[in-house]
Amino acid sequence: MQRWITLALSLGLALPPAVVLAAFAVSGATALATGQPLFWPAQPVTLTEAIGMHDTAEIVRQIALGANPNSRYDTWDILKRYQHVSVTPLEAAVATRERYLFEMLVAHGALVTPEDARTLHCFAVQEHAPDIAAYLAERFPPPASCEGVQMPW
Amino acid sequence: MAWMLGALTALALAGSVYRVPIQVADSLEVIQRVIPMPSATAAFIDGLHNSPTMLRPLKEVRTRLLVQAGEALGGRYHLVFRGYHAIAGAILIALFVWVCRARTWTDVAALTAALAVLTGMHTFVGLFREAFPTNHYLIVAVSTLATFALAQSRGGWLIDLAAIVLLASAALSFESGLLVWPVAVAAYASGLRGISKRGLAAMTLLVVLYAVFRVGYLGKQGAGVGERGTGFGAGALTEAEQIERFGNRPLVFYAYNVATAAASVLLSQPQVGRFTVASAWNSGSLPPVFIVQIGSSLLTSLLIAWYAISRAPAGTRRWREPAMLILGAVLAVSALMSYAYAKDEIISTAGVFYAVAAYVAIRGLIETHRVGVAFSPVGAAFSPVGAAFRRPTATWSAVLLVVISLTVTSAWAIRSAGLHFRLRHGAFEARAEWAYILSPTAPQTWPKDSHTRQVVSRMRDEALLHPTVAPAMLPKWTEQWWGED
Repeated sequence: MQRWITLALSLGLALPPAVVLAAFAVSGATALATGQPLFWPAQPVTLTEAIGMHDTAEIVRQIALGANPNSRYDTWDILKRYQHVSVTPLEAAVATRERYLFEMLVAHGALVTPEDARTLHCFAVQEHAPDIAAYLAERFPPPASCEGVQMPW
Repeated sequence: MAWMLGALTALALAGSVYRVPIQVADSLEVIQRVIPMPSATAAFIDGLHNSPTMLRPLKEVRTRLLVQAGEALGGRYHLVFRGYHAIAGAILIALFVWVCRARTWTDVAALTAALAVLTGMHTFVGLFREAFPTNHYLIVAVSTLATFALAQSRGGWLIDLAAIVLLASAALSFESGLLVWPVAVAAYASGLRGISKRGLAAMTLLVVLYAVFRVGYLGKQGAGVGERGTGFGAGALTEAEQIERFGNRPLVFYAYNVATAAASVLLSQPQVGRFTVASAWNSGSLPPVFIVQIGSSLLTSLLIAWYAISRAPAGTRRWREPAMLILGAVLAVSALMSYAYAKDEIISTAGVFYAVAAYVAIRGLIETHRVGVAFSPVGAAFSPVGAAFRRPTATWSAVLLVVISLTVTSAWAIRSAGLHFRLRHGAFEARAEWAYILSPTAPQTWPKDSHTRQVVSRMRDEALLHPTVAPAMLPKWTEQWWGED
């Protein structure tokens, strides 16, 4: 009886850590061999999805590798919960309300024309992004009205 | 079997650590400073004088050697820096397995649980999540464990010499490296004679010389109130707030920091001086991370306390055993070192020795039950589980004990998995920092020296070209079980 209790106690102590240890050892070995772990590997994302996740490094990587910062990209379940939208990187930055992302995109080649500025300004007001609206207002006269402006959503 | 467990732990750790890019904060500045230096000696001398408070010349030397190694391998800096960090982690695990000296199957069971305690401690993450550009807290943890291993050996002049070299190298890497000395002293006091009295005397002399050199010759200052922001109560205090509240009575502030640093190792609260559980409770929700962390730490600390106050079969007090005395010494000194501000990394070495003590206590728990020996009535009163031991044939108590053990080690296993989750967060943050380096719109911030610029550019490319998972892509439940970042 005593032996069985000792065995059960030893197993009780060792089993949960051993399972976790083995799982992460396999994941670690996979990471070292292939570059990505089994648990929580990097997921492929579009440029606008990277913006939605504030992933500055991924933004810079994709633009450096040829992604156009002025094109439209599909974005799933990030800017709009459970919805698919197609937006430009600058529109995605407005949706995050983060001025630093907007500025980073401009620094890496995103263009703000007077026509874009009007749309972006109206979109910034709609999305409650006053910092970005202020950034745009410093460079372009704010639109008198947003009537007729085609918003991303 | 013990070594196989160690190897698996090291593999799991290496896989996650290697994914973290070289970081920019607290790191790139050091790298840029050492690149133009003519030699490692110049880097050492620079490290003696480049700060009014810090004395870390070997950090500069180590950084320079790693940069040179990266250059020699054709600009593979990530391989060198992150490989170094992963290997240092593997050495830490190997030393842990070595000092635990698992000999039987029940020892191996205890070691499995202890490895989960080691890697699941909230203080353990700090050894791997950041690097400056090498993690000096990890160097201290490795040096102290190595000192313990030397103390367990048969001794000899080579062992003494190795202990002295470890102390010197750890202290010149980072101030906390002085922890090597209390480890050696506590090991000697517990009866280990691997490091001789003569060796201990030489180490003591070295500590005195270090103090004289640091304060008397180099004029380095200690930290005071308002050195940096720190947790306090359920919130945090800025530098200015600390001066305003404690400028006239710094001892109160220091006492709080010391006490909470020690409590953090034993109870997982507060963390970084802040009772995060109180703020979570006040906000109306208590995520499972708090129950898992506090529950597992509390029960493990109770087990260690039970073991420490019980008697060995020979009748000797177990608190005098090496693992217990060393934990006490490291915990006390680490807590004292935290007097000016709280930081999990400062108590990370105490966290490592907490895991060693947990191993000894778990082994004692199995052993006590196996042979059915009587133990201290104080210990039995201390733990309801202990009371059950006195009736080793009682099936219900055995079942209860197994269930409690399973629950506690499950909690530690969950915490251990959290290490990898936090390292993913660390990888994302470290990579994100590179987006701002060599920015096309701020060429005035680029390194002036072309060689340095070339090295930085290569490091940046390596960091950016290796995607990491964004925290926003991780399931929401992960934050519930492992905490918000």
